[in-house]
Amino acid sequence: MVVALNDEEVLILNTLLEQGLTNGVKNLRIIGIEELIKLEPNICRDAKSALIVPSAGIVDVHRFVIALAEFAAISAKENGAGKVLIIDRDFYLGGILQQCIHPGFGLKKFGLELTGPEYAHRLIKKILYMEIDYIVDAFVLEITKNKEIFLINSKIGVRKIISKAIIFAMGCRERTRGSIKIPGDRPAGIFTAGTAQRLINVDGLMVGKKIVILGSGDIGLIMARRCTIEGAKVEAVVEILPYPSGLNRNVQQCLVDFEIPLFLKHTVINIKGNKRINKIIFSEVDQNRKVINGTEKEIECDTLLLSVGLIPENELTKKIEIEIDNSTGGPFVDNLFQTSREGFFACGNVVQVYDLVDYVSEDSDLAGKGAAFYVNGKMKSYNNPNKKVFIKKGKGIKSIVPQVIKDYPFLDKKIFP
Amino acid sequence: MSHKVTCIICPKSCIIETKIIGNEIITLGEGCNRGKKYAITEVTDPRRIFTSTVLIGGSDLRVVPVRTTKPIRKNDWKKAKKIIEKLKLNAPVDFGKIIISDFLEQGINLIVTREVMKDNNF
Repeated sequence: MVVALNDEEVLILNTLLEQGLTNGVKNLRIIGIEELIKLEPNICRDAKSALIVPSAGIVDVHRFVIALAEFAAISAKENGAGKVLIIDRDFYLGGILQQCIHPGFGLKKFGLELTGPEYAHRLIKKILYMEIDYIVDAFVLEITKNKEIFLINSKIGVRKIISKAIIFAMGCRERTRGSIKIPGDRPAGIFTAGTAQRLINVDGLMVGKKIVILGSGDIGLIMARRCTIEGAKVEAVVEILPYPSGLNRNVQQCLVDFEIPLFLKHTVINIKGNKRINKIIFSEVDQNRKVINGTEKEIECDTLLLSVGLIPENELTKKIEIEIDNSTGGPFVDNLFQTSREGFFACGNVVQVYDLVDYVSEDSDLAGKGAAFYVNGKMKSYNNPNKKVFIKKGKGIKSIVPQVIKDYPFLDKKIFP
Repeated sequence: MSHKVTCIICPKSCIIETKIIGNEIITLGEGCNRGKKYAITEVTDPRRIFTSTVLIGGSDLRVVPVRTTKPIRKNDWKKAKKIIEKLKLNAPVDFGKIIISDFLEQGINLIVTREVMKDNNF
């Protein structure tokens, strides 16, 4: 319902009505003050008349909605999805790339060694050029099975958005101290590596001076170098596995180059400190990752960074009962990244944890194509159960994406006879 | 004299063996030509792309990311940081703006890698 408060606005109502009728909105009509009071007894006294849209309490209509993943948005738009909206929780577009200021991105996609912000810049420019809508600083409260999205933003308040297809691109959350259960005191100075990265590279705040990093994931390694460049002393990187879990090139350019010691087969077993952390105790582990008694060592430090894995952020996905694959932590997807629920797609780290942004871009591209395909009503003919292949895991394989392959028309290789 | 080098060009992280025979450097185990080139510079004149952040005023962002356009000498990172620490930029800054040309007298530019507008970037 749109309410007019003066004569000028009554004229606007008439224009809206005309627009609505040309756009094919049904049962659209303007009502006078008497009927208005009957419908809404608490209406403001200045109200003159109102435009009623009985079909829905629509605030904004979009064909298509996404959270983050600029690539999927561009691909969807290019493939004819119509109106596309990006909803982002952060204050700016670009997601995690904006805080990854180190080089090494885009070698595959652009053939250049770019930094994260440079990679993001290319996509954002394209988003602006293609006039794709976006809302930043917005939090999605709920998504319903009818593809309604409820979001909240400090400027526009609570909004309901009705969409025809949704692409999930919420990325990952970092595992915290709680998820690995490190005993000891609970002082300040314990950060996840990604949080520290954001504080240093985006907010311009330093996390500490004497740093220990637990876990040798790529973010942990990158942060070891970053903290060293920013003037901190990284005392050690401690890894429970017998090999570094990040890429070898990162071990070389982040640890070896800066002479930072890496303790493999070790883990932190205690945290000491009153207000601020002042010491960690770490110990060697055996093949079963059990602590070997008598191998404890101490390091004095004022900061502990945790780089102990990522969890796909699927709270919204689970709420509408989309099937989740336990081996990836993300939803089951087909080769166009459609989830078990029609019209809902997923791409990026929400599906599985990727090593490289270039691969994320490739897969987001497919998800965007898929969503455009769905919005244009072409997906239905490909739901033939006889033309569906489930991929089963062999021995020694932890996870597979996509889990289902369907006979979509733009597959490179024909796998169906 | 032989030397083992972990290639940092791509995620494959090939381990490349380099041998200096006379005036020539022979490489073994590289996955591509870029790796071969990297291994040779790594044993003769090791270089890295340097990235960091610089303070910025007049914007709601406090720092802006910067990088060197080409790799600088590996051991020069402390010198680079010392120079960058003293810089302060003022918004707006264009993407790719050169802050220091001929950085560290190595014929390389230091550039901004994020577009920052005045006051409101969000």
